This record gives sequence, C-alpha cells and structure tokens, in this order.
Amino acid sequence: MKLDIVITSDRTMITNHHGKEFLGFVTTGPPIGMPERLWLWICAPKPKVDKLGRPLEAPYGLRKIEAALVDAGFNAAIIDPDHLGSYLRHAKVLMIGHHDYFAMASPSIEWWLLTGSEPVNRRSFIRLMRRPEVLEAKRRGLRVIVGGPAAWQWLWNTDYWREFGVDTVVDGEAEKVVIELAAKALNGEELPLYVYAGPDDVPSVEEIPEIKGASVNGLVEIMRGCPRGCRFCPVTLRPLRYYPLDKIERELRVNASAGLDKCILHSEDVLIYGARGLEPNPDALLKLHTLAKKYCKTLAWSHVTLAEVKYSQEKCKLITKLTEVIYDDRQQYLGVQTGLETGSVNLARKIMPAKAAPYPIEMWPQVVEDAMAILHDHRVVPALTLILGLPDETEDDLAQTAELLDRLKDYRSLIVPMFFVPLGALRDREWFLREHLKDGHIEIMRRCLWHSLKWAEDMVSSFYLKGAHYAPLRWSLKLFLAYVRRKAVEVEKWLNEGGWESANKSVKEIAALPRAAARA
Amino acid sequence: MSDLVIELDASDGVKKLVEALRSNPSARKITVYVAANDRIRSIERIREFLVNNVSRTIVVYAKGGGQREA
Repeated sequence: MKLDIVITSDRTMITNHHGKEFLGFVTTGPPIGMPERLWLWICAPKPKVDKLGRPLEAPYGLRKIEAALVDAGFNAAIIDPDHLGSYLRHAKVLMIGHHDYFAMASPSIEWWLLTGSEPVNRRSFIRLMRRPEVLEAKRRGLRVIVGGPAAWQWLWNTDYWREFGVDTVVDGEAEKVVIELAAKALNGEELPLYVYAGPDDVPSVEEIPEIKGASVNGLVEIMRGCPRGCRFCPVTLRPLRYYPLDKIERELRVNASAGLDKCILHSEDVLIYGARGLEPNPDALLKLHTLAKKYCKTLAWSHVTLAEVKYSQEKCKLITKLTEVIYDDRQQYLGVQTGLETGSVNLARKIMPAKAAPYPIEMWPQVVEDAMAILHDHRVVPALTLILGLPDETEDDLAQTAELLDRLKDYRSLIVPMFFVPLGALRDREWFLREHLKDGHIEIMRRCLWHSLKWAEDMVSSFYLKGAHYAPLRWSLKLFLAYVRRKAVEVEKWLNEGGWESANKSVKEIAALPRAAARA
Repeated sequence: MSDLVIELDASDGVKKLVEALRSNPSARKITVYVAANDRIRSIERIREFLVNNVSRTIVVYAKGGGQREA
C-alpha cells in the first residue's frame, strides 16, 4: 500500500498505555531508577498493528485529522512509527501530532526541572525526527506538517524547527485548515510556516469529522470548549459545542467494532454535557452513559470540574445516578482528571473567577473538599492537578493551598502539583522555573508526594491492574513505588537538614539547561 | 469581520503588525508575509506577537517563499 499522506507520532503517543490511561502520565517523566527501555515498556508499549503497520488504536486527535483527510478524498492513514520506512519512500506529506513535543507542558517540564533529566516524551520525539528514514524522505522533498495541543512549543524551539525541516506548524483545531494545507502540499505549492486557527475557524459540530479507526482506550469526544473561562486554559478560548448522541454512538461503534470494550468520555467537564450554562442536564447525561455502557464494559471520564460534582450531586444526586449506570460486575470504580489549581480564594478570584460557579468563588476550598468527599463515597478516583507559580502568587496563597491539602488527605486521589506554563489568556506571563521555588512550594510538593504515594500504593494493592495478565506490570509498579518511597524518605531527611537552602544558593547553575529549553 | 494581509520587510518591526491590527480591529484572519534571511527566522522575528495571539486566525508566510531549509 502507498500513501500520499502519512500521519504519525512517536512511541509515547502511539501506544495504548496497557489500556490504563493514567500510565500515560508516566511518559511525561524521565526514566527514574530503571533503564529507559523498561520505563517505556511500563508507560508506552508498542500497540497491536495490522499487516500494513496501522495501529489498532491511535490517538483521538490524529484519528480526527485522518478522518478529515479521508472524508476530503485524500489517500491518508495513521502509521505506527516502527513501520514508517516503506511508506516514506513514496509519501509526499508527513503529518505529526503530539501532546508535548518538547516536554514544555506540565507535568513534563516540572519533572525535567526538578531532576535535571529530559523526560522520555521529548527524547522519544527527537529520536523519531532523527531517524534515517525520516531524514532520507525529507531530503527527497517530503513536506512535514506538525500540530496538536503542543503546537505552540515550536515557537520556542525554532532550532529544532530548522533541524527537522518542518514546513508548517498548525496550532488550534485543525480539521478545517488541514484540508487546504494538504492540497497545497500535494500540489507542490508554497506552504505557510505557521497557522493559528482562531475561534472563527474552528469546525462546527457538523463539520467535525467522525473517526474511521479506533482511538486509544476508546476515547470519544462528547463536546468541545468550556464555559468557565479560567485564564490559564486555552480550551476556554474556543466555542462550546455539544456532540449529539447519534454522532457519539457512531464513534463508539467504530471502537467497538475494533474489539475495544472500554471507553473514555472526553470533555473538559463531562458533567456539563448538554447543559444550559452550568445547569446540569441529567437526562442528557443518563442517556449518554446508558449509550456508552451498551458498547463498553468499562467507562471513564476524562475530566470533570469539582464545582459541578458538588452542584450536580446536591441538586439531583447525579453522581449517584450516573455511577449506578456505570457500575456493574465488570466495573467497580471510575477514574477522572480534575483541577484543584489553588487553595487560595484570592488567587482563584484572579485567575479562575467562575471555577466554583454556581457557588461563589469565596467557597472554593469548601467546594473542593465537598466534591472530593462525594467522589470518594462513589469510588470515583480523581487525579487532581494544582498549579504552582501562578502570576501574583503570594506565600499566603501557598499556605492556604497547603492547608487545603491537609483537608483532602482521607480522600482516595492522586494530587500532582504542576509548574505554571503560560497558556490561554496568560500566554504573555512569566514561566515558573526551578529558581522561583520558595519554601511554600516545597511544602506543597512534599504533601502532594506523600498523599499520592499513599493512595497509589493503596490502589495498586487493592484494585488497579487486577488479573494475571497485568501481573508483570503490577509488580513493576510496586517496585517503582517502593523506590519512590525510599527516595522520598531520603529527600525528607535532606529537607529537614536544610538541604534545600544550600542547594538553592547554586540553583541558577542547576536550572540552566531546562531554563534555556523553556525560553529557547 | 474581514481578512487582513500585512507585509513585513526586513526593516519593519513587529510594531507595524500591531498598528495594522489596531487600525483594523474587526479583522479576524491575518495573513503575514515576513522577510528574513531564512524561513524560520521569519517566525523568530514575530514570535512574541504569535505567542500572545489568542483571538484571531494567523497565517504566516516567509516573504519570497522558496528558500526552504535543508
């Protein structure tokens, strides 16, 4: 088979993370305490491919680009990175997407800054672009177009842009603009260097193509955009669009026909699917979950907001009703990602004034605690992110976040502190780097580490990765967690002996490498 | 809503781009041709502007086209 347009990414993207989406987070770290190959096997194993080298499951964003191109009549397909060679001998265009090309997003940049070691997602992507078959195809005139949620990182990595011979960088929802770019590339016309698809150029729901092949872990989008308007988030800049149920069902069917018996409902806040503003729509949500369970044994939510968890449960017992649909003898818990961001009311008011809505922002810490209790009671396990180094952050803000973390210690969850990355309406603000760390940040990271370690050990021992086929992975993770616990004790001792203060004196030298990368 | 085309010569600063947008606040799509001694330098010349743009569609071409990087 020959293709005009090959779509791909590196191994940290073209994988199903052993069917466990949380393991995808491990691709954001450097290999710690083990060889890189073992690290990659844990978080990014090679996926099943067909005899043509097409992965059975591929990232949803790449599936959308593939669908847009196929619908427009182009000869395009997603190819596994280990099968590129034969295709690149004939292809005219290579399209690549990524969540985090250069490890500049959180949490990659944080692990990099703290350890001084490059995360595996960055290493893996750079290796892909330096492969002989890619270089050879480029010499023959292959046009290279890159995009995805990390497209912005190319603006800070122009040396790599030159080295890899990237023709065009596409930032934003690309389903519409990619058609014109593909036509130009195949006709040998001049390509723009950079395209940013603004809010007026995003596709309508009807224009969003439907995936033709299965997505990683059965992820299907149920809506785009978010009405909360948090200033650090780029998603909120895009218009809100709900997928109708029949469109969602067609994508569920694509995944089911490929043999997937699980799905992840993707939205910035699953609980506002079909909502009017932030008023939940129980009928739409119950229909959506009943539909998803028709095709999947297990189901997960990509994201919810904590305010909506509390409000929808208090108003109409929605979390109870939804988990009654989801849970059966094949599924007893549910994973989700959510944003805590800060425990400070002052900071919340400045950067995310609608985050607690419909409750007043002054109630934010209480909203977080109440929502966590509801999730815990319903066996919903959240991975929470909080942001360190937000613009105008004070020691008092950090103390309030630390205090809130103490109130959450009995709720099953992972809490990951992330360094502020200037995105969304805060794109022009300063990066948060290791040299900006204060005692308050260290204390928050310390509390998050012990909290997450405790609950990660609990989950791996009690219900995560159950079954004989997961045994090698389960034991690898147990060994890794034991290693982290040992190192955490050492770090605790080091901190108590004043290690941070002395290390801080020379921190500018230590931080030189990541800083250069972050600022290019 | 309108489209706007702007050319930045080697001697022009990003200021020219900002002023053109100020004069055309309803422009939702901006095509910019940037002169530079290599294609990627065109991006570097207007990077700050690109980083801060969130509300408009922007398309950037290297002025003079053809000189593709190896």
